[in-house]
Formats: sequence, C-alpha cells, structure tokens
Amino acid sequence: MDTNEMNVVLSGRIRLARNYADLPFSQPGESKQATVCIQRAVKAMHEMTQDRYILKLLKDMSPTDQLALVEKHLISSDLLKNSLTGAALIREDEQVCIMVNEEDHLRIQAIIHGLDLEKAAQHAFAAEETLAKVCGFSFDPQLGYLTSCPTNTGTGMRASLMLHLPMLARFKQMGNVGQSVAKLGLTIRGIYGEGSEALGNVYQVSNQVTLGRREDDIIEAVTVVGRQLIEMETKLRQRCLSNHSMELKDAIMRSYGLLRYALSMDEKEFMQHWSNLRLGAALELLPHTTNDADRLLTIAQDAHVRQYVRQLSQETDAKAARCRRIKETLFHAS
Amino acid sequence: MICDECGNNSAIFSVTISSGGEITNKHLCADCMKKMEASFSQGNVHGFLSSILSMLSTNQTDSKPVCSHCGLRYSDFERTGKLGCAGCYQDFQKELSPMLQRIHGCTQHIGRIPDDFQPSQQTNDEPSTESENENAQELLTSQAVERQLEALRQKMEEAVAVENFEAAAQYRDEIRAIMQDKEVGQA
Repeated sequence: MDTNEMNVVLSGRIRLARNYADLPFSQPGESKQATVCIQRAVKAMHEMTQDRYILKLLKDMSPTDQLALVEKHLISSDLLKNSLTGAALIREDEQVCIMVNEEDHLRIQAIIHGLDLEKAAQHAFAAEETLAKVCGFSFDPQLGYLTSCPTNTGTGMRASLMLHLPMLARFKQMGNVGQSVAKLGLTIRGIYGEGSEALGNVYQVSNQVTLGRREDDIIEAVTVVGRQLIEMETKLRQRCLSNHSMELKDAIMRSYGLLRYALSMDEKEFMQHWSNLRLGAALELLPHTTNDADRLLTIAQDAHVRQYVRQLSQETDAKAARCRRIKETLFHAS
Repeated sequence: MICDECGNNSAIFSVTISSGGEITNKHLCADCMKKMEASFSQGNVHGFLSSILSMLSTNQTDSKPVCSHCGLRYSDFERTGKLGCAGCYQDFQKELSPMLQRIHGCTQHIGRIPDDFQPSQQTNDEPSTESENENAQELLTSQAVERQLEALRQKMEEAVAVENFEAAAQYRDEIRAIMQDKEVGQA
C-alpha cells in the first residue's frame, strides 16, 4: 500500500449475504430455526476448515462486550437487535467474521487493512464455500442469491472502504461527492454504515447495487472511487498545508495537547481530536503513525472504555478512563 | 377489527379517501392515525401523500398476494421491507420486478453461481445428443439423490439436537426408503 493510500484508507471490507436454501428467512424470535443456522455454521467453520473460528453467542455476552464487537466492525449494530438468537463466528486473526441470524441467515465479512478488496473477497468466498458444504444457499438463476431484503439480492455482496476524509469534509465537498458516487450505483455513509454519523470524518464508500453486476465489477467500481477520493483528499491536504499552514497546524497541535493532557473526554469530543491526530500523523507533523491512530480509534470508543474500566481495580469514570487509555497508548503514561 | 396499516392493533378510526372517483375506507389504530395526523399537521405533504399511497396500495394488494410458501402478506413486506422466504420472490414476482428494476436498474443476475447449482434449471441453448442427455440426466438424478440424502441426514441430526425425536424418526424412515430405492436401481 502506498503512503497516500495508507494516509486515507482505514480498512476495506467485503460482506456477503446468504440464506440456507431449505429454511425460511430469519424471523425475529424464531429460536429453533436460529439454533439450526448456528449449528450449521459452527459445523462448517469448526470441522471443515483448518482456520480457527471462535463462536460468540450474543445471549452469553454483556451489552458492553456486544458493543465492543460493533466498534471493531466485526458485527453490525443490526445483529444486536437479535440479541437472543444472534451469533458470530470470528476467525482468530479477526479478519473474517460470520454473523449468524442477522437480517439474513449468514453475513460473511472479510476485513483487510487497506485498499485490497480483491484479497478481502478471496477470504470471504473461501469462508462462503466452507459454509456451503453443510447446506446450499438460496439461489435463483435470474435473481441470484436471494436475500431477506431485495436491496441485497443478486450477488448479495457489499464492498466497502473506510476512509478518513477530514479535508473533503472541511471544504464541504462530501455532499457533491455523495451525489457523484450515487450515479455510479455507490453510496457514502458514516463510520458505522447505514444511518450513522461521520464521526471523526470517517466515511464508508460502498456499492448500493447488487443485482446485474459481477462481483469483480463491484469491487473495481468501489476501488476506483476510493482511489479518486484518496487523490482528492491528498491534494486538498497539500493545498491546505501550503495556504493555511498555521491554521491547520494549530488545530492539529491543539487536539494533540488535549489528547495528551485532558483528564476527561466524551466520545464525540475524542473523535474530533482523533481526526486531527490522524491527519497530523499522516502529514508527519506528529511523532506517531496512522497505525497508532487507527489502534486508538477502536480502544478509545465507549464500549472498549467500559471494558477497560472493568479491568481497573478502582472505580473510574468512563470519560476519565478514556483519557487514561489515550495516554497509555500514545504516550506510554497513565 | 385489526388496523389496516400496522396489522397488529385494534382499529378504532375509520378514514375515507376519495381518489379519482373511487372511495376507499381504511380502518386505523390510534398509533397509525396519530402518525398520519402528525405528518399532515407538520406540513409534510410528501409524508402524508406517501402514507395515503401506501394505504391505497395495501388496499389493492389485500385481495392479491400472500406467499403460498410462508404465508407472508405482501402488505407485511411493504411495512417491514423484509421478505419471508425464497418463495416470496416467486409469489410476489409481479410486485417485486419493478421494485428490483428501480433499486438495481436491472433484474438479471450475472455474478457468481453456486458450485452445486443444477445446470438443468437453466436454459440450455447448446444442442446435445440423445445419449449425452441421458447420461447427463442420470448423473443429475444421482447427484440430486445424494444431495437429498445429505439434506435429510442433516435435518435428522438437527432434529435430534433439539430433541424433536418424532421428526428425527420421520427423516430416518425417509432416508431408509431412498436408500432402498437406490439399491434396487443399482441392482
């Protein structure tokens, strides 16, 4: 991955929606069928592949631990709506995750660090083939893979890139970008996908259309748009650095100072300063890498902070614990 | 009487809509009536119109589709956006086709095909000889029997797992019957 890509792309993801051919689609509260889906997925991923998958049943997890999986983008917030029947099979390296009993029986996801969506697709299809060994999926020669919601029918595939676009947001370009990508059958959303805010100027670009396009073409379209956005963002960063150098550096350094010395911070404020931290790292204005910033993004969010508070011996306020976590991670201080 | 809009609560309001000379009566529960009033009082004419249109389309579909496979009403799909089973795509084809066209700009899949997808389900444009057809048919039949057996074994295991022994016994008997037929065929 080249530097410009690394400076803008957080991750790439492929998600496949699949339903077992012999069962009706997921029904809320239908626990017998949900159990069957989990048993089949477990049988496939525990017995038919050499990769090690860990089963997480939502009903056995605390709400905080469930949300922590959402923050890691391993499961969707929609899966939490089925907290009695929902499950996830997560590959040991956390690059592949299979959600069971979400809107569809199976949502197979592969996540990679960077822009290589083809590699993510290889991982996702390998997992899909293993799952299909136990029971085939609902498929129609005309409509492709059949899904609970017709918006996913066809390939059942969603390819997405998570991008950090602070300059495009600052210069109010995201509205125009959204309109342009819509013409290509793509969409731009906030950090946690559909209906979420672009906290920290993190955006997800993904395909909207799933029927009538080949998987390769979808991946290519998302990658091409991703590359264009990287180029636009990089140019704006350089322009801002030469035309508004003091203003930009001041904003970055103020945020850096707060991350270093603040004693209490909520998630929304953190995301604002995190965005400046990542931008400062990308522009080599700070002694940190974009990887440091990306690691911090997950562990300083609400559920991860609550998990951290649980580990602390003394009772600590979550906002204070967040600041402690930031200092430990970035400055090796408490 | 059940609310025509949500299909859950008791209807306590009756609304009459006159459109193009046609008069439609709808029965609504308190919640759905409130929603409709709210969209109207906020000047949300679009929201108000869409709720009327959805009521009209619900009315039109009342006499029409219910999925013969899972029993889902098309009006339920309009409300939730979720289909009940793969069979819904067949039974609601008339309604779903224009919707798929609107969403995807297309109604023909051109992506991946499952490895075990039976080619006999697709149109075969290539002419083939009679013996090739027979061989292919034999092969497909034997593959289909194997798949059926595998599916039944799986279902039997699952029935045992959830302690539904009656269903498990039924699946066992079906497996035995197919195995006997298979042996007779081979002999």
